[in-house]
Amino acid sequence: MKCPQCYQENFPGEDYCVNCGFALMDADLNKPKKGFGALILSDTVEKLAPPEPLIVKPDSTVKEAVELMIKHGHGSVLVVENEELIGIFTERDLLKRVVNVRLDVSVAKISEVMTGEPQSLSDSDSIAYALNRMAVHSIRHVPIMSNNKVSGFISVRGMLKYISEHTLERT
Amino acid sequence: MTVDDTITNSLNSSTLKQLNLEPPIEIPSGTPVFEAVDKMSDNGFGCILVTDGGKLVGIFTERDVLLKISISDVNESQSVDEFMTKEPDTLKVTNTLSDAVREMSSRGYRHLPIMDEENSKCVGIITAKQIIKFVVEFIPEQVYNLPPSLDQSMLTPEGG
Repeated sequence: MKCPQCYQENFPGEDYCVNCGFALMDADLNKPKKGFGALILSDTVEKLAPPEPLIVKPDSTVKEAVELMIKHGHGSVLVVENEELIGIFTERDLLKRVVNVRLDVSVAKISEVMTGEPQSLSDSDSIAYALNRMAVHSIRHVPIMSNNKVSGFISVRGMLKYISEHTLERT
Repeated sequence: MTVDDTITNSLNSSTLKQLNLEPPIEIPSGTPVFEAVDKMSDNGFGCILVTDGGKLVGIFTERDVLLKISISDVNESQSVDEFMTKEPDTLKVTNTLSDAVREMSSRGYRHLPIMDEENSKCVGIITAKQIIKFVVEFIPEQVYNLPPSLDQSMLTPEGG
């Protein structure tokens, strides 16, 4: 099993992590065995079917980014430079930093109005992490990384759908 | 069959009246659209309700700003009525949280105005974030106490 502290892969049945000594039997015991609480630990964010992200370069204009968002009906674009995720631009940023101050969208660069260093998750992280980002940190869009490259993003909408599918009876 | 009877039952039995709904932010019909934008931006709110003589006639959201205003030629004198979604879907305070989850997830709404029992006045707004927080309250241990994400952890163990 994977050590929850350092992520070392241990042989099944090990009592202590061979790397950091963390007590694995406790980690195992504390985990709920059933219910939604167990599901969000065993399901990875992949279960939210992260859509392919919209990607722009830092020197793209705000207009180019917004056109992409409108075309695909997404509430965010990711800003990537040399394959590295450096920012996110959302509807909220658009409202506050662009429309509210009447910024010229065909001149302003996305790097001037994006939110830098967005909190991302790995594609092998559990749904619990996504819930944590949304409920605790109030983040609506979370980029998903796979092998250190942006592979998708998850949104509050996707999460609501997941909650609905697993907690409500079908009518 | 659902995976969790406790959460399911609670969603089915809790009415919207029992929630701390966000109070609605309202503007009168005919308000200049940029006034609506300013108000939404200042309040940190994703939507604003448009009323006419106390009656709900429309909803104006961040999505409307994206789609209809951000890169369009909008005149300062144009009113919010031209950009809002008219006669929005609503629920009543007597509806359950399940109703809200269904309505929002099937239609992709992030905000839903909630009307009083007589369906005459909007008393609050339920947001997708609130629903997520409601569900998380049942499973705090799994959500609040997490080790760092795999994405933020080092690729090799420390000292390894």
